[in-house]
Amino acid sequence: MTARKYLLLFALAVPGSVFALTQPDISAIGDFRGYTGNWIDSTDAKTSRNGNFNMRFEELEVVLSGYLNPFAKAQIVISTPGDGLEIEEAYATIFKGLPLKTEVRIGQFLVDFGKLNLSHAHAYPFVDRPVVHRVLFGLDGFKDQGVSMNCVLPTRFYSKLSFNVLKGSVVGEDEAVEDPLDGRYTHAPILTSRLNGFWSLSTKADMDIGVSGFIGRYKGRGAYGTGDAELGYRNLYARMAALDGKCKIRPNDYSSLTLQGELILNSRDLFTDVFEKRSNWGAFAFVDYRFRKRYNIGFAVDRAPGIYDNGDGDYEQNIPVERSNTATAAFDDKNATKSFALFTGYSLLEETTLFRLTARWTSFNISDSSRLVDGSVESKRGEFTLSAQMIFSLGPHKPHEF
Amino acid sequence: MKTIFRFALLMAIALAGSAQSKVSIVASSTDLASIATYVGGDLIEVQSIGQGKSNLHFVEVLPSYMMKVARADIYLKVGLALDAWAQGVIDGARNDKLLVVDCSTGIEVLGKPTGKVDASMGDLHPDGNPHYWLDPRNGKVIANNICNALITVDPVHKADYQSRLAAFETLLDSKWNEWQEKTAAFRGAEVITYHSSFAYLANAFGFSVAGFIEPKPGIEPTAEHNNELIQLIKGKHISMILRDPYYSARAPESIARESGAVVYVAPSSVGGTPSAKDYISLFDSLVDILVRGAK
Repeated sequence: MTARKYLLLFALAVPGSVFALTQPDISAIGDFRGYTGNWIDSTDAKTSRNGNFNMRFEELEVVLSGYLNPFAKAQIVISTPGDGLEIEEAYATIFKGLPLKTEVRIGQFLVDFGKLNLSHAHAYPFVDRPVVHRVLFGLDGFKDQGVSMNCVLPTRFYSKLSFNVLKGSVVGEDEAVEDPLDGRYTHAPILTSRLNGFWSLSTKADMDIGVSGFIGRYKGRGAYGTGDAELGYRNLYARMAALDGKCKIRPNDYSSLTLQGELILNSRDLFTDVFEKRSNWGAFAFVDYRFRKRYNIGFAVDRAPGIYDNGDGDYEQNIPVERSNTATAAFDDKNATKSFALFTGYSLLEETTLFRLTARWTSFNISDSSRLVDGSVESKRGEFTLSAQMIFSLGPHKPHEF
Repeated sequence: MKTIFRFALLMAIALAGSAQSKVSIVASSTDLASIATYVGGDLIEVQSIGQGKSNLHFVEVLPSYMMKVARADIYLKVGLALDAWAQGVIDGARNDKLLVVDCSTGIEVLGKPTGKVDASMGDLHPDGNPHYWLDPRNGKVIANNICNALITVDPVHKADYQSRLAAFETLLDSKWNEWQEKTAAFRGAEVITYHSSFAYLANAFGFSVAGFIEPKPGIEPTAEHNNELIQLIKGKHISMILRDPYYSARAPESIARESGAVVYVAPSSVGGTPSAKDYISLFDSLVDILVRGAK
């Protein structure tokens, strides 16, 4: 019997009223983009996309959410990046009834490392995810499978402490591989934590400050993760710490000024010929002014470790993939990518139909070309990208606020 | 032994303190908070998340609101999908003991759409017009809902709450007669309002709303719609445009200039204007506007 028949039988068996009551909220969010710019490859030639007006349906997100019972709710976000279909988030949250007002989330979810990562990219006031997030977390941000616990601390202001035990996909392979030497798995669960405080500075201004920590073993004991016993035994770790801040000022119901930023310190163990510990940092900040409720304008600055290769693959960092298992730029402690963006947006009614325009200037600072695959490259010309975005949302799920 | 004695003393002080502590109420709107004050008096502490000069449809859920609700005994919701954001605050507060009261219970709801409701109709409330507190008769229904909640949470003071409720109802009855007398000349008049906020007020005081500045609920005014309104106002000799304090003055003023009508900033909630200090003076202010409009 096919799945459809089972579903039909189930629908017939369940009384209509009960079925209607237990249906989750269903929403769909579409993200369509047009973009152009100048992109130069490592031979200083224009890439095939240079100067063209490119269009792409970036993503469709289908969101199912609702209460499971009076104590728990669940959310499933299925997205279609490119041609594929993937589960972006799928988790249940027990938000009531646990001791010390603890909230527990289980499943796959965006991790509360920093503040911006918790929001889906369509909720940002600008078009693209900050480069530093793309380099350190991947194109979809920091999402992982595991268990998250948080509790509101008994302080006079709102403060929350969270602790996550995660599978570790952000630094390791999707599936842990058994080490041939000692039978242990090549990467272990990672641990992250975040402490944040929220203060109302006045009836018209709020501030949120958070610190996050991360430690994860991405290669197990098997001889620097290589499986070669002669090289010795050592675990390879990734460590990150972040400081984030957000201040929002609302002079009235129709306008607001948001200042938000994040600093991420990153340290990765690496074994190529010798054991190394490479440290680097990235940061972003933006100012977003919303006026007449439906318009916004602002600018963003961004700094990421390594040379962010815009998908052309000419500036990959000189880290063998089997040693890093993550974006290689995350291991680059010498070079950097910087960008400045101007953005504006307009929403037709609430957030159901959004138009955004972002102009981004990206510069590349190559101070040590030995970190790159092509060691002869001494510089990379800056890039300019103009992106237009149209987002539509159908159903109750809208971009999140604060 | 001394330690045990000190501990017992501390416990006794703590228990005595809790016995005298006030019932903590958080309300979605200043109107519900004001009515709660009439019913609860000095036995309660009440805070409002929504402010009188803010649009209750759009309240940003902030952690500081969750903190308030985390310590509260009762949450007063407007309901009818006006303060849908309140659920986020309530869930975020993680308060297992919180009693959530939907104050729209027992209200005779106006403007309940028939048939399918979708976004092509604008930001239409599927359960009907949620601005029900703007009929003073509904103030009694709200007060009864709040009184029942207070008795549930604090049964010791049942008689106090019931006597305060009776006093509030008596006050409303006497003010009702006064307001009706003052607005008699306005009965049968037509007005333009920005949003459908004043449907219950119109129902209570016998005037009608001929049109809205918003072409559809929640949709910003358009030039074409403004022109239609100007013709409507001229054709029907409408003299009054009511604007909630939080809506832009631009379109109403422009329409008023072209049509000869007068724009009045009408508080749709307690605190919306300086004179609307509580639920009773909210209606004093509104009645004053209607009286001025009748001249």
